Amino acid sequence: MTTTSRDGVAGPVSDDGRATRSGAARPPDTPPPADAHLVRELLDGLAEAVVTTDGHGTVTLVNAMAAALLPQVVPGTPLIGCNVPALATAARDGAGSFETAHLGRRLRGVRRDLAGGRHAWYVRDVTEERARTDSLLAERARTAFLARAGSRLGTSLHREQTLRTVATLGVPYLADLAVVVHRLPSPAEDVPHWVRYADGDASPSTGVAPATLVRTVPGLADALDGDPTDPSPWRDAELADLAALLPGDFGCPGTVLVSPMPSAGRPAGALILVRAAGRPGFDRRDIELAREFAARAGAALGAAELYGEQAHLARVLQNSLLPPELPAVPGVCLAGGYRAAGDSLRIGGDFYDVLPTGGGAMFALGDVCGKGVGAAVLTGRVRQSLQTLRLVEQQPLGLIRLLNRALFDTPDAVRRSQFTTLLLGTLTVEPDGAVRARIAGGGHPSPLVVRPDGTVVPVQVGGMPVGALTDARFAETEVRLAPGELLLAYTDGVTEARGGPREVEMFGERRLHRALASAAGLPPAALVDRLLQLVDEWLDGQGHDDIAMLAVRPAETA
Amino acid sequence: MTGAPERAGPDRAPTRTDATAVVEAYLRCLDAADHPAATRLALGLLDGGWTVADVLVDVVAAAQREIGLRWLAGRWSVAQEHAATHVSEQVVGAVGARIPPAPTRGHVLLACVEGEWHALAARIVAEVVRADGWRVTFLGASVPGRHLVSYLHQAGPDTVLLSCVQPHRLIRAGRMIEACRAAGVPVVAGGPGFGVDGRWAAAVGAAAWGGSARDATRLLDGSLPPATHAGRSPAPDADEYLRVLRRRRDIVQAALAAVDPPEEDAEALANAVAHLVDALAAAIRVGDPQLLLDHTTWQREALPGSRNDRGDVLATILACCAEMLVEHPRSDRYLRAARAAPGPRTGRAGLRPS
Repeated sequence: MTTTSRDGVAGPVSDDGRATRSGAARPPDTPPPADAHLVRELLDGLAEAVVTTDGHGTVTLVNAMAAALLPQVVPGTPLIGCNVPALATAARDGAGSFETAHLGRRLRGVRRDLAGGRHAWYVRDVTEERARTDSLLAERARTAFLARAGSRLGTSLHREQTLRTVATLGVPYLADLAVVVHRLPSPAEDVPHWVRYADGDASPSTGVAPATLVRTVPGLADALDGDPTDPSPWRDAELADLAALLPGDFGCPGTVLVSPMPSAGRPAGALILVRAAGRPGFDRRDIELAREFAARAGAALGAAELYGEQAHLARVLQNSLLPPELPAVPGVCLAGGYRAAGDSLRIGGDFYDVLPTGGGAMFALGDVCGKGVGAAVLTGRVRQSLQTLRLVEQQPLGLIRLLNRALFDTPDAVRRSQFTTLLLGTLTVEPDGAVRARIAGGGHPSPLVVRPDGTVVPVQVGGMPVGALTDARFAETEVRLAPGELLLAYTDGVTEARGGPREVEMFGERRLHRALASAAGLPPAALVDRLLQLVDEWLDGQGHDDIAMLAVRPAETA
Repeated sequence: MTGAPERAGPDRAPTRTDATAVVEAYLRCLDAADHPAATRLALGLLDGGWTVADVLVDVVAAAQREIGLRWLAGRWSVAQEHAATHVSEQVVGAVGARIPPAPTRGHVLLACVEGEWHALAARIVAEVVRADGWRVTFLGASVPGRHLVSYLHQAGPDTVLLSCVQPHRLIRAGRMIEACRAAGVPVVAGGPGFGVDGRWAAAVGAAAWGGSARDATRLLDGSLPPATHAGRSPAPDADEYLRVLRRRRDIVQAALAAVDPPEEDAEALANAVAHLVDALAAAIRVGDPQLLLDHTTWQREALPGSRNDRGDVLATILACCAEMLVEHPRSDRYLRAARAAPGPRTGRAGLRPS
């Protein structure tokens, strides 16, 4: 029944059909064995199915593997008529290869042209190979997904933004719709909130769920307590419970997987993944992946919550230590400027404050030795002491003496040896619109008076730093600001800013005077802005000490 | 977007002619540094049915452009310009106070690139965007990168608007955008610093670019998905710009030695050279020599010293840069283009107000 072709010996069969076989090393003059039986045995021993056709396309030979894999191919019948559609089609179209699923196996065939218009088809069973490749690709996709999720989840430390990222990341790879159910960090309320993202949405949407949601959606209560549940196909009867979380046009969900989002302390929330009705459900690897993703999301959310708490704490402290918004003082125009040394909290050891009084205002500008948070805390103490002490003493000189004693009386003051240079003054508006300033000094750079014509005159105050010595001496002076004249108090961060063309030179008093002369006549706010800008340009990105300034001018009579 | 519907009636619409007349009147207030009058004028327009965008863009911003021209033409002093800007800032504040404080849309953070002190344009954008229903946080002029990042993590805004007026600050702008993207927030770039039509915005990682406050509201109306506009910034072709920046200090010293300016001009000249190096680095960063050419064209007019000498001073500085950067192929090519550019022109037409 089988016929043997004389020269039908196949070449090596293991090379997957990719390489052309004609060039293979065949012994040059070895005649093919004439023993048809031997050829038959050799062919039947191959792991590859072999089918040959003659010049008319009629099957001339099938080996044992071909008989097993392709029983529909019968010698003596035309190959294009065989009941293996992919092979028949390939034979009809003259194609060089085909791949098909046949009788539950994955088959890949390659054609080789033989002499005399004959053909040989080598067909391999690639089922296992294919399965391995598929699982490798799937694994790669999972790894890539987790890597992407990891990098995106690590970017933000803000809770809401992390929630939005979690909701969007899983779609469409894990599911067609993702909902994160979470509770706000503040324990005051126990209402579940949600963030939802469906495939095709421009951005995630948010909302508040009915309090009953947690009890009615199967598995959600467990997940919010940290226990995973298995995915469940969704029945119509239960759809109503989930409806609160689904967009109106989503239709009937196929399968739903609820995963806990654990974080340190308490679960950060639950991740609900919903696949549309047409999509296959979650398999074991999908579930593992979803759990892994939810765990990473939970950790990111936990970190964001912790950062949020810390940042809130820092902000509250920072707000109490930042220079205040200046109050409106009738008859006086005021502006303050402040730049802390490189610190993202923007607080430091320089400070100013203005407190309205009956006939005008009291102002203070100072520089606590040291930098950063430690110095900022001391500025807070100085400012608070001033606010309290001014209730018993309104004269600058008396007040600065009291402050010196108060700072000495604080525990640890001597050990810390922290002192403050300070200008402390009162502003009184006179009937003609001028402002009289009485200024007490504690070892601080002299304030400057800027006249409308550009003249800059230092106001000598003197005195010794506050909080350094119990018997420190302080001084007081008085200056009258006519309308148009401006008083600028500043800290040494301005004059000691190092930069400029040689990058090591100090900004210096001369440059400050020149800058003020060019800004004469400007309103205090504009003058302070201009000075900050000049110092900033001088620094050109180099680090600097804290900088504070306060400008005072009689208000224009309007 | 707010637009025509907010106006009381068609007869109130600011046609080009009466907008021009209004700007003239407003400029007179600025000239006199009369902020009560300027505020009255602006609030009067609001009462007459103009929108916040109409008043701030068509009057205040338009007047500011005119001020810039007057300053360039030498008709106004720096002090006058500052005083006028100060008045406009108070006007913007007063107009902003009329916006109902109940945002209905997302949170937008607005900042000026570090080193940029002219914040009025950005302040106008802030108020116009706020009038469009957004919650806006304006971080102010010259925002250090660290402050921006720490604020991003605290506030978690939906979008950052970053203003950059001068192209030589593009490197800093790019670093700030990179930080925003890394924090998962897309950035809309604004201002001529990103190129006349925003042509350099994408190269430094911005999601979009706008040239005006109205552009900003339009862009915010569109979609800016963080998935595409956050994460890693597009990588620059080469890191040559970093190597150029590393030599900045040496180049400034060498140029000062070569030009040997009078003492009173030394600082201004050092700044000019530093900015030129920044512009060169920025041009390399975005791969466009035109950035450097625009900068040198502008500097040719703005350098310290007498007008007749400026061309020579610029040539000396460029020669100095070329000598110091001879081993960097792109710098070499760009600098050669800048040195070959036409010499000083008379008049100041075509200059960018800073």
